[in-house]
Amino acid sequence: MGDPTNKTETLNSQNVPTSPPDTLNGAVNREPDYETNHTTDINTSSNAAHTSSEATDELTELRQLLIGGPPGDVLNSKLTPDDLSKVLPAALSKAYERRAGITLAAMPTVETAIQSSVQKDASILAEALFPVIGPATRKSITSAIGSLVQSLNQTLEHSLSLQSFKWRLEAKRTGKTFAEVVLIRTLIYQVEQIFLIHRETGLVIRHVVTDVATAQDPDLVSAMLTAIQDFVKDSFTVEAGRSLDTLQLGDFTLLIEDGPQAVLACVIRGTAPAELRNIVRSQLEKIHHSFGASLRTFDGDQGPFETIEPYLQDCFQAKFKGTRKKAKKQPLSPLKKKLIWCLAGVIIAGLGTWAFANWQSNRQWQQFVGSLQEQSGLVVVNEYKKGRTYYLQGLFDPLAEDPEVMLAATDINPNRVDMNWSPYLSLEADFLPNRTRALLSPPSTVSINLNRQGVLQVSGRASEQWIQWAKATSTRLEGITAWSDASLVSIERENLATLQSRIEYRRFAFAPGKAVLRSQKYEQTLNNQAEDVESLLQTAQTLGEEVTISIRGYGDQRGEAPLTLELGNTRANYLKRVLINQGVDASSLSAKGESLHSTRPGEDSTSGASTLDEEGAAAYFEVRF
Amino acid sequence: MIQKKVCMVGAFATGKTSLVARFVKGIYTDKYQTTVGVKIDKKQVEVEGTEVTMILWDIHGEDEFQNVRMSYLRGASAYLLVIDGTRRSSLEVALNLKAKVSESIGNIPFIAVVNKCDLQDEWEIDEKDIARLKAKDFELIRTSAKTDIGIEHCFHRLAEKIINELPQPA
Ligand SMILES: Nc1nc2c(ncn2[C@@H]2O[C@H](COP(=O)(O)OP(=O)(O)OP(=O)(O)O)[C@@H](O)[C@H]2O)c(=O)[nH]1
Ligand SMILES: [Mg+2]
Repeated sequence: MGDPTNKTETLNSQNVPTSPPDTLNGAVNREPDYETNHTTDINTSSNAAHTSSEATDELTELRQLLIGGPPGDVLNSKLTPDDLSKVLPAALSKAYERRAGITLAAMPTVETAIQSSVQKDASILAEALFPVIGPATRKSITSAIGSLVQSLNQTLEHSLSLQSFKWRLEAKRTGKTFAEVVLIRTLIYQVEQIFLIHRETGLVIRHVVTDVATAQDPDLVSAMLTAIQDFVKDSFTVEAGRSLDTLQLGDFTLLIEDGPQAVLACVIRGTAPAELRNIVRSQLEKIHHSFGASLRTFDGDQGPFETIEPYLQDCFQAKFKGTRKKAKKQPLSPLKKKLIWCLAGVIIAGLGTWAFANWQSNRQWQQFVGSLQEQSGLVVVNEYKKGRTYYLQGLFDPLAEDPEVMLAATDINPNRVDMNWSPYLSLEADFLPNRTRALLSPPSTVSINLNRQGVLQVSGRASEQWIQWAKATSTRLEGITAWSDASLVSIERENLATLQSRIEYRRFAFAPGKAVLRSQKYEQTLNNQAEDVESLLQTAQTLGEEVTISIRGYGDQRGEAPLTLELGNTRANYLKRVLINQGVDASSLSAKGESLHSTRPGEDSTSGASTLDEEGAAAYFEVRF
Repeated sequence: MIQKKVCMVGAFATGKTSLVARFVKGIYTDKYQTTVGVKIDKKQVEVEGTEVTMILWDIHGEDEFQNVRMSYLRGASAYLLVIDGTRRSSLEVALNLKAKVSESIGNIPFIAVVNKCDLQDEWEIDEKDIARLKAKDFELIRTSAKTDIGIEHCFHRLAEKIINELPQPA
């Protein structure tokens, strides 16, 4: 019997003076007797029994669902559903016998049906399966406890401690099996009964007991617990929403977890760990989640809670002492163990994730450093990691690839990178052409090639200015030993040559015996000549060339020699004056008369002379560098 | 199977505990042991083919020191309002309690029981009082826990009311 000074005792002792033993008191604190009482099994066989008939119905229904539908759709319209129903079972089993693939054919439909059934209301399937799962669960729990006892038996069988000797004596004395004694004596705690109580009515929704426990009438206990709760709430000022959560009754602890609709109460033998409450709480939450509607509309009918038992089974926790050593320290509860494993798992997973991320970022960084080193014009001098930051010191040729741009192209977080680049000029051979090219920025008409000897071969066409600059610059570059421009054409010199030939080619014919151009046509030619002379002089100037343009005038063929020379002179000076008038620098021009016997510039005596004879007296230009 | 919470409500010493004891265990004693708090018992009845498990909350009686806690009635499907025929005051208490229950719990089914009808000679409650109660649409049943009169009837009638959820007088 319970401790008479116990608070609970006062709460629910009903009658004054002494009451005869009655249902009420006994329900809570009568000491359970493991020997004489056997489990009150709540819901095993009855469920299993009526399921088989139900299953048949369901199968028939399933068949109808699978093969049913308007007969005309699938089959000959003359075949009535009645006819079909007569042959269908036979047809199905025939098909099955012949392995006609009926199973495979039906599978998707069945699967889909199950799936949508679960989606619609998972409890239907759960209820259908519950009669199978419930006993299986219980069986596995029982066998787990059984095997625990077995292993204890073995352990103890082989250890001849004083303790085990005492237990053996006790087993003999009480007539219990040795294992049973061990079980009870090594028990730290065990949840023996669980009550799921409807909060408002105090009615029991479900009551589960372990095989070893002795159950009192759950209805009475449940109602009594609720009454006690009410009493406590009314009698003592209790914070709103708070309620009685633990009752200590001798060897037993009553753990009460209060939910909005239901209360879970666990009768625990021994000292329960604090963590047990968390389990109970979470189960109660799950119950509220899954059975919320049924709880709200609970009218005393346990029917809707047939499937609730697995939720309660999770609250059945037990812990036994280690048997080899009488450890004063309480061994870890299963929950604690679980928590430790979970924590370890989290830590390991966390470390793993971190390690992987770390490994990955290290790898990315090393790849990046490698790509920097491969790059011409970049030199990695030092590179290390400190904390989370990657540090790098290096030299960079301003013409090389930008390391920051390269970094941005990787997956590396730029915030974790601290790069410090000092400028330098790279002498790397494969980098030199690029650098030279970048430095000289040649016109598109020029191609540059740097051979192994360091000779910069430049070809194509370029302005004289660029050529001179490039030649001067490149020879000062490290790594370039010589400048070769054999096949490089200067645009200005090219122009100069063109102008020269144009200027020298023009012939200015005069009226006979006069220093006047023979026709309007020659006036126009003279204008062009002035323009070309002007640009030739300018081009020559940019090239630094000294140039003189001599104008040679000829007198008429028929005149006296001194006279002809005089006339030629006059004519040449006439042309010179026109050019000067058109803006040509006088100092570059010279004019003089020539005797007819002298040859025209750039022309041998055989070809040009005849025309001269025919056309009469004229004047010519000569360009001299 | 359906469970229902049923409460025994009334003044002290009206015979609530005795009624339950008679109904559940078929026993009766003249010894008076006043109820402290609540005592719980249960009994299964069959009403119109439905099995109903009545969870009986035998609540302590109301006296000048102690009012009946309405929290005990929370979630009750019905109650027996027990009146001691030999004490007029128990009728007034019953009427008060009825009002209190209606106010805090609502108009749930109840039956007024006038107990100790084996002592009808000593009754302080007369036909006038009975008529007054009937005028209030109270369903009245005379009982005796001692001589087992009307016990089965009153509990079955209560179960019937629960099942049919008969409309209740205000
Ligand atoms: N003669 C007679 N006596 C009764 C009857 N019912 C109860 N009593 C007696 O009345 C006294 C009180 O009965 P209880 O059943 O304890 O009354 P109660 O309503 O439970 O009282 P509380 O303790 O206030 O709850 C006891 O001495 C009973 O023997 C009855 O039907 N006839
Ligand atoms: Mg009583």
